[in-house]
Amino acid sequence: MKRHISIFAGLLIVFLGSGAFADTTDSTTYGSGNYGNCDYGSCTITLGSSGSVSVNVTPSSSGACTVQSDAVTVTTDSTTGYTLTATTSSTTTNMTSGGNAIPSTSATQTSPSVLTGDQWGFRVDNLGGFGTGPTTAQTNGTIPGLTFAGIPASNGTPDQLAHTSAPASSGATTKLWYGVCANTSVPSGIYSVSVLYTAVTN
Amino acid sequence: MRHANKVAIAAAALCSGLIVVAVPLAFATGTVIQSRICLPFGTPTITDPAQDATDGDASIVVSGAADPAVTVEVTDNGAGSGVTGTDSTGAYSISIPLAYGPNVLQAHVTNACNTVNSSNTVTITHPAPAIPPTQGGTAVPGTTPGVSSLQPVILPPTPITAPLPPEASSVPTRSYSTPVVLVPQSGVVVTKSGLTITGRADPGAVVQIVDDGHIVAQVVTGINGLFSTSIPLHEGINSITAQLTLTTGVIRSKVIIVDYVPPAHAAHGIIARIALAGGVLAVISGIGIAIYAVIARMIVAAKHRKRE
Repeated sequence: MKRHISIFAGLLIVFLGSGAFADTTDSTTYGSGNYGNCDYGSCTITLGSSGSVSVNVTPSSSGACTVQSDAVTVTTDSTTGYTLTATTSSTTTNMTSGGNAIPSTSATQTSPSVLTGDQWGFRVDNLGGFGTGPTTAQTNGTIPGLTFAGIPASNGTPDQLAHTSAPASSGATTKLWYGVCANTSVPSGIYSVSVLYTAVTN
Repeated sequence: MRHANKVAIAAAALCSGLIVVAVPLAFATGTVIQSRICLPFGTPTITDPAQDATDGDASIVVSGAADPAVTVEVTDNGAGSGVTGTDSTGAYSISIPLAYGPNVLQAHVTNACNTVNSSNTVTITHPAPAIPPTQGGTAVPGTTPGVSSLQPVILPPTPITAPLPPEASSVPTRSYSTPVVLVPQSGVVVTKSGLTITGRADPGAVVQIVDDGHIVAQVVTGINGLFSTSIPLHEGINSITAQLTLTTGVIRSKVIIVDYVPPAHAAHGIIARIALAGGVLAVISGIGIAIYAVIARMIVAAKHRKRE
C-alpha cells in the first residue's frame, strides 16, 4: 500500500512540476525565464546554412578582394536559447588548392584586423571587436576597411558566433561575411576550406 | 521513505516517457568556402571606328585588341550586339548592326571569375532616313515675327534618334500582321559570314531581325511592306526570326535555320565528299571485277567440259 502511494505521489509531482524535471533546457526558477514550446523533453534544435559560399577573385598587384555572405539559421524551442560556434573542419585554417594556400588572417574576433593582399577571414557585424559595419558584398574590390578574423582550426577553441537566452522558434539568423583577398603572387586555382557550424542548446 | 520517493519519481518519469537526463542538444552543419583565383587579364580596346564618327551604313566593323584567344562581346547602347574571339595577337574584328541615332559601342572581356574588363566607349551616329515634314501645320496668328497671320506655319520635322516601335508612337492602336522571311529559305547552308534577309511585314513597320535570341538588325519596311537587311552570322546553326516589338507583345515570324560553314570547313566537307565518292566507286569497281572473274571462270569451266 505504501509503495502504491509513493508511485502515485511521484507521478503527481512529475506532472505538476514537469517544467523543472522534464527538460534541463527549461527555466528552473518558477515564474522566471522565457516561455517556449520546449516541454516534456521535446526540445529540438536545427541549424542551416547555404552550404557553399563562392568568393572568386581576379587578383591585382595591390590585392583584390571579394566579400560574400553566408546565413546561418538556428531554430530551437529551448527556453534558454542556444550557442552557435564555428571552426574549420580540419586542423588547417588555410584555403588550399593542391599545394597552394591562401592563409587565414591570424587576427581574432576580439581583436580583428584589416585583411592583407593574400588572406581570407570572416566577420559578423556587431560581434566582438568587429564593429557595426554594415558589411556589404563586393567583387574584386579594393581591400575593405572593415576588420576580419580567422576561424579557428578544428583542434582549437571554437569561435562563438552567437549566444542567446530565449527560444528561436521561428529561426534566428547570423550573417557571416567571408572576405578573400588575392594579389598577383597568389597562383590561380580553386581554393577551398570547410567551416563547421555547431549550435548547442544552453 | 525519501529514497523510495526518489525511485518512485524516476520510475514514474520513465514510465511517462519523459527525459530527465541533463544533456544539451546540439546540431552541426558545414559550409564550404570556395574561391576561384583567376589570372589577371587585359582590358580590351576599340581602335576602330573613331569616336564621334557618323556612319550611314546599317552596320559597322568594330575592331580592337584584347588578350590573345579570348572572347570579346561588343555592346551597343548597353545591349549585346555581337561576340567574337581574338586571334593569337589579341586582335579582333566584328561587324555590328547599327540602330538609328547614337550608338555607344563598348567591348567587354569576361573571365572565369566573372570579372568583366570593359574597353573605352566609342559613339557612332547612324543618321535616320529623312522624314518628310509634317503636313498641315498650324496657323498661329501674331506669334511668329515676320510671318503673315494668315500664312500657315509649317512645323519642322520632329528630330528623332531612332524609329519608335509601332505601338510606342501616338498612332492609335492598330493590328499588325506577322512578319514573313522570304529569303533565305530555312535549312540553307552558307559559307559567308554575312547574310541578306528579305521579308515582308506591314508597310512602315519596324522589323527586328533576331539571331539566337539577339537582335542583330533593325529595319523599316517600305510602302510595299518589303524589307531587306544584312546580318552577321556566327559559325554553325543560326536560328533567325523577324519580329515586331509592340507594347502589347512581340509578333515573330517562323524560325529560319541557316547553317554558316566557314570556307575552310566547307572545303574540308567537299574533300571529304570527294573521298567518300571515290571510296564508293572503288568498292563498286572491286565488286564488278570480282563478278567478272567469277563469270570468266564459269565460261572457262564450261569450255573445258565441252572439250571433254
